[in-house]
Amino acid sequence: MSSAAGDSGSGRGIPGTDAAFSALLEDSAEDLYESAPCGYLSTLMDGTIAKINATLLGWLGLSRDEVVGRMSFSDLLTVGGRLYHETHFAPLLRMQGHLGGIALEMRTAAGPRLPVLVTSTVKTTEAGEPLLIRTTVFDATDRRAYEKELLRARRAADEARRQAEADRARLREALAVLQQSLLPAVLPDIPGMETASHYHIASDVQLGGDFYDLFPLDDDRFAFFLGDVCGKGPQAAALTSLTRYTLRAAALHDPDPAAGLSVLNTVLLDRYTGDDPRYCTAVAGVLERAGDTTHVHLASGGHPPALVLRGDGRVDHLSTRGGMLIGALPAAQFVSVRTALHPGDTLLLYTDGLTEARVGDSRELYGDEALESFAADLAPASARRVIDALTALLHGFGDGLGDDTALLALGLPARTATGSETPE
Amino acid sequence: MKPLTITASHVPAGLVLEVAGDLDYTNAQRLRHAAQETALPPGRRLVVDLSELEFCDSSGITALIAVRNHALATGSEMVLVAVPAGTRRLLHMTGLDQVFDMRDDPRSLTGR
Repeated sequence: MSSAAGDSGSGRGIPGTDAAFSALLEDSAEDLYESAPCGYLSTLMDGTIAKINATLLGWLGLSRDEVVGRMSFSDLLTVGGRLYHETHFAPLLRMQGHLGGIALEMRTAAGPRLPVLVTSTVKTTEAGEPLLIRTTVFDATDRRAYEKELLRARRAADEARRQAEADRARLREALAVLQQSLLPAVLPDIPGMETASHYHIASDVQLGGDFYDLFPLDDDRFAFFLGDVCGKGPQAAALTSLTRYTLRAAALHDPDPAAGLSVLNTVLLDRYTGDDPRYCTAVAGVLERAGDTTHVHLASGGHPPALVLRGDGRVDHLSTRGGMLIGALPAAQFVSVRTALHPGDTLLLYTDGLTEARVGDSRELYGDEALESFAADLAPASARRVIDALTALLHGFGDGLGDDTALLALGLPARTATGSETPE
Repeated sequence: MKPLTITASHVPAGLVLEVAGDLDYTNAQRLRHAAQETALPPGRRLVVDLSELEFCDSSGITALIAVRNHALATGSEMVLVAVPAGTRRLLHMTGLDQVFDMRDDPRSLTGR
């Protein structure tokens, strides 16, 4: 400890330090004023310059004779600086007696402007009367350059952000167009039948994997399908496209819906082999009109059962249990079912985005049973009403609806009292 | 989210893969690779034990199909053991309950 205390003053003992310290003591106040690393000037209260140091004269490129007694402080400023000086700087200074850190621009004899930071203090007499103004001037060129750099960086960041937003908007637009190409632009008119559909896309930057279609086979028959491909994004869209055109072509070739699903199974197995199995689930079917009745023949591969909301308020679920995933296995089997629609009946097809939604505080699966009882409360209902009610239900799921959801309803309008059967 | 763990162990009857945690889009590839990397002699049985599986989505089902394809290609049979209710529901809905051999008790299969 004692040796540490003894060392405390030893800094002065370093050779050469003493000499430097002495030189500093001989530095005159006058020289310090004239050659300080900042500008000094003193003005009368009317602004006339009474004293100015060599540093500032050097920055401005002026001689002492030109300035002292001949120019006022505001003469040193640019037009904008002068205006600011007159309207803000001088009044505030008179009021407060001190003003610091004000950014101004000075004119130099050579032309370029000199950005400066100015601090002024009013010196008063003992009686408190203002006598003169002392001002220090700091060269703010570096600081201005720094600020400009900051501004430039911010502009560049803003521009990058604008570009990213524009790119994102373009991507979103392209995806929306592509998505629409995977769905029918409008559902065709089917004589004597009401049709409605809804498509919920879970993400606006990711292509959905659900699809549906409805198209005529001949004068009396229409084919439809609705399904869900595995995965999302461009790969899913390519799979959807292949699936859609395969099912369309197959239906035109052979209207048996199970045969269509078998063709699709073969095509998908052939296209996506080995380590990258890609599959879909789908319901495909044919509508055939016979008088007041429309016969439905549909087949399913791994897809949730279709529902029929009957005109008398019952709900049938068309079980196709046992129908397998399409594109996963060479020997896949598909299960067919038939039903008939009468006036007032509506067939509902949906993807499992609806039944797999998480609802309530406990994030329970919405589930098949909840959907059936929802449909039972709704029945009887037209195709439009079924889709509207389910769209509202999906909307109510909020965040719980994590997946894409496609809905397609095909209904025979109920006979109305004002129709051909006029009451007596 | 529970992390996925896949534990392989050899038993007299063949190979057991214990799949625990969440099997989903982000990690299903790991199950495929695990099945491919483990050498399974022809005629042996691949047992996939799902008793500790917490969650399985459609990507997980895809991986199970790929594992089954791999087992069949090497002349082995694949058995799913202790399939949780949620996964069982998915397999029923997609008709795959007819394809996968599903058993409840692993011990009779593995000889452990």
